[in-house]
Amino acid sequence: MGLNSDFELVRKYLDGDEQAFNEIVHRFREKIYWHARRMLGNHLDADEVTQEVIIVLYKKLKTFNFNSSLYTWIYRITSNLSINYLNKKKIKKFFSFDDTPQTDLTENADMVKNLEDKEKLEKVEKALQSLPVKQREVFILRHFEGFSYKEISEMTGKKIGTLKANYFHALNKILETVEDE
Amino acid sequence: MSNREKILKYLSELMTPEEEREFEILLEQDKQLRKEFDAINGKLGTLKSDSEPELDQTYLANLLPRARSKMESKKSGILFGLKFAPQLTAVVFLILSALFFSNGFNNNTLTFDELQKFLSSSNLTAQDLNRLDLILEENDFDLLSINSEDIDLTNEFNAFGIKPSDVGQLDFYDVTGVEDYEYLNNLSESDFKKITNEIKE
Repeated sequence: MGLNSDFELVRKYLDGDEQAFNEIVHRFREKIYWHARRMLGNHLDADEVTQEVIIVLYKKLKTFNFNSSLYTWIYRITSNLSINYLNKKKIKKFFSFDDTPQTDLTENADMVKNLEDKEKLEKVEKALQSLPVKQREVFILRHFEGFSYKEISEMTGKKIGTLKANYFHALNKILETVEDE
Repeated sequence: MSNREKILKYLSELMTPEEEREFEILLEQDKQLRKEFDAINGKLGTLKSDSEPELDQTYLANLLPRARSKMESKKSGILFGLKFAPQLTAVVFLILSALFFSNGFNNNTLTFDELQKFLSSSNLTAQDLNRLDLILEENDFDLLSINSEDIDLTNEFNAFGIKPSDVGQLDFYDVTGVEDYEYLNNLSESDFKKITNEIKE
């Protein structure tokens, strides 16, 4: 399941093969979900963004230029849509449209069946949510997804030095949060 | 520099190659440093292993059909909106977008006074804001839709005296677009509350 087969799928989809799109979604859906979930900190928001990413892929795959891997392209979209989603929530809060109380993360973690796993995941989410969004994004992309600074730089358009500084502060904060528990 | 700081700098690749070599030699010699290094790596490892438990497979299987269904309802929502009340609602949203993308604020930092000034000059009414609410909540006419190439809002921009250049690049897949929201992150909770109260009044 290398880079070429991803490209092949995109080409098939661009040639009108809908099944190829299904295969792309099947291949990346779990990665998209987990990236969104780590960025947003709960299932409901992650679900919303995951669906949005699939919709954007469907609409925008025709603009994919084959210069980067499909994998990094999808992560870039997921990252940006997650940040947009957070900002949109902020705007709604700003204009008092979002009166919904903060949802309990325990309730939202219902896509994870095992109780022990849920508790562990909640701790991770709590630690991640303690980070500012930019630091969170860099930390997630590097620590959980294993991207290099160069790849993250290509995805986010930020300088490698800035990313390293963000990662350093994120590490420090995350460890403080974990140690406080 | 404390051991912890050295370790974090090493893990963040903030050291020069020479500093890295020195650190690695020290790591072999200094038991306390090694202990702290292993402890930090252990915590980070646990964080990683705990972060991706097995997901409900039914949920995953239903993702694509749900996204397709959402895409369909979005299309019909946009069409409905465009047919009956598109201009005002879109304009309200665009005004808000313009506000957030405007270069009128210093260093991308929005102050309470600047926002108040903008709101008082924009003639937004409670009805406008309700319409915006409807767009967001019911039609799901979000930033993504606003960005559609199919919607030409030049006339609406003109009607409100907004130059398209004021609105800026509305490509939300572009990282630059995301960066423009910077000022929102600088707005304090108390400013949020103050502004909200002003709008309610």
